[in-house]
Amino acid sequence: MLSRLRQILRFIRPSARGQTQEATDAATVRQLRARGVQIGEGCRIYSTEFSTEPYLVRLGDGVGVAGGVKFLTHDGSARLLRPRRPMIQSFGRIVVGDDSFIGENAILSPGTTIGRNCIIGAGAVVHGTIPDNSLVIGNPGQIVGRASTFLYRLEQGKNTLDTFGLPEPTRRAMILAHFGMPDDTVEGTTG
Amino acid sequence: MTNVSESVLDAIRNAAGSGERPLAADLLLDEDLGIDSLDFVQLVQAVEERLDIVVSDEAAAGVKTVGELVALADAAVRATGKSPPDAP
Repeated sequence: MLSRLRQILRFIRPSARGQTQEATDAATVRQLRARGVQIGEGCRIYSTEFSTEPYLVRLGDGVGVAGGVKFLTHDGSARLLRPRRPMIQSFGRIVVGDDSFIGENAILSPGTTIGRNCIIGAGAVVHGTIPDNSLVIGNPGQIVGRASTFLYRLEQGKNTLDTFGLPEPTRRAMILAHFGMPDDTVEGTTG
Repeated sequence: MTNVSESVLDAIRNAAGSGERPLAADLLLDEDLGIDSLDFVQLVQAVEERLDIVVSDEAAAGVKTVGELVALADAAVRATGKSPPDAP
């Protein structure tokens, strides 16, 4: 089962958006590593919000991080204690296991450990330890079931297509056709 | 009706927010009851906890109707060799 999940989650195929996007993705990983984030192989990361202690974040292999995800490595409320401890700060490491996916705008609190093969839903606020193969949604983040259950279901979803890696015009045409929408694109008007 | 089917139907009613409405076996979980993929994961979890079983993800992925989920749960309970818990 885990190898199947890896097939689904690991981003090893050529990018849907071509070599330019591949290069951009690689550059993002390089920059984050230069800031001290520990990043495994085969990761796709679309967030740069790794707080002021990026060296406290470790991502395993094959991790996907969507845009807007925040890795909070310190607790800003500690500043309220500065009248009596002027230099106080409170920190927490964040660890994300292999082949996990963090959805758009999720927030990972200091001290969060996410296991392998997990899915963190968009906007979830996660704290504490999340076991392997968990699906977490909401604020506060709740484990609602197995990530593998979700992925198998997703794979058979009526709107799940095989469009990744296709040239954008082909991909767009397939998606529009799937939804029964006309493709009235005028060349040069798409973003 | 067996304890297993009662338990599963109760879990489906909770997931769908359908109250005490009768649930025909051929009702589609998604289109008829509005149970989306996230709801479905929670539904499977609820069924597993109620019946103390583990349902195969692969088999669960193919479930489309109320009756198919009941049948899947029933098979999982039988595979354990234990008596199903009391109905809710």
